[in-house]
Amino acid sequence: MNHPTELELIEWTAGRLERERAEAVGAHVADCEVCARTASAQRDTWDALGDWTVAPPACDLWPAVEARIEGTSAPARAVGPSWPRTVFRAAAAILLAAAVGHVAGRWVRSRMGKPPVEAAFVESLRLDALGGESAVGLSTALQTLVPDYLKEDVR
Amino acid sequence: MDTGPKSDADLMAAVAGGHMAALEELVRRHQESVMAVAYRFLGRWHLAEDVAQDVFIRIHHAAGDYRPEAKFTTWLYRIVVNRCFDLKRGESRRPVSMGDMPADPPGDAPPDPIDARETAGRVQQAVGDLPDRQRTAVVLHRYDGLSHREIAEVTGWSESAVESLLVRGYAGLREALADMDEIGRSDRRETA
Repeated sequence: MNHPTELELIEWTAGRLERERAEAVGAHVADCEVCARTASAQRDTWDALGDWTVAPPACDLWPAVEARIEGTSAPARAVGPSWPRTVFRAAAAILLAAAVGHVAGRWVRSRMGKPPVEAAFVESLRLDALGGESAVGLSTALQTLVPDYLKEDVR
Repeated sequence: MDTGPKSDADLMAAVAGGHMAALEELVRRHQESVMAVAYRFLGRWHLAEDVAQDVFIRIHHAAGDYRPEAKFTTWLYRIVVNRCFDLKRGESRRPVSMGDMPADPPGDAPPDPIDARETAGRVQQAVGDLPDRQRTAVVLHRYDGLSHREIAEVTGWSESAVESLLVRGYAGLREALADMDEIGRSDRRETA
């Protein structure tokens, strides 16, 4: 004897089985004491559950829902495309970073002593014997040999 | 021109387009069922109302995510169940008990009002004593008419898990309510 599953018995007592299967389960329950007892208990429980009626208190949720939605500053959905604003902000951030970096770089260079490349250049010319006549150790006459980008520091 | 009521899917499309009137229609159409599901899970009306508000606000924010291929009530109940579980985790220190439950509003006049109230109270207590997942499955199955497949869609649990939850949930209720045969049974049954 193929017993229906417990779920099938539940669905059968609830009247929710498909017709063909419901007929088969009904025929089985009529002949099976065990399943008949389970089905009877389930039917009592199902009916008892129906005695718990729930009626929400009369209320209209819409005013409260609307107020909470309007209370949040961000709109539920952005109106129109937002990418131009994003691109503008990114560009501004990049420019700002570049400006800060440039100013910081100039400040650092102004605080530093002889740049390393200048020291190597002086050493390669072996100008020690000529004696330093300027703050960076190069004679005025040799300034023409100094690359342009170092002249600012040599003065 | 069709002047009949708009479907839930049409209203959701309008909500996604920013039409608040469509959301208002959805709220008024589903607020009672949402509150009823939440109440049966949480046991208190003020919590059910809080959940219902949260659910409709969530709908407003997530309207763009709704796909009309899915049944709206399945999507709606999923939000309700998730919100109830979130709230229940926060309320875990206060288990649902008869003392915490306010009286239900009066329903249809029963043959014996006192017995009917006692029956309803016993049922409410028995359902409230079920573990959360079993209670969820039973409530959706018994009171909202969902099949075990639909319950699986709503909750995200497997169909076999839902089947097990329903079987154990109803078995627990049969045991808890087994002595209720004397209370109101003759009023419910027309034949022996």
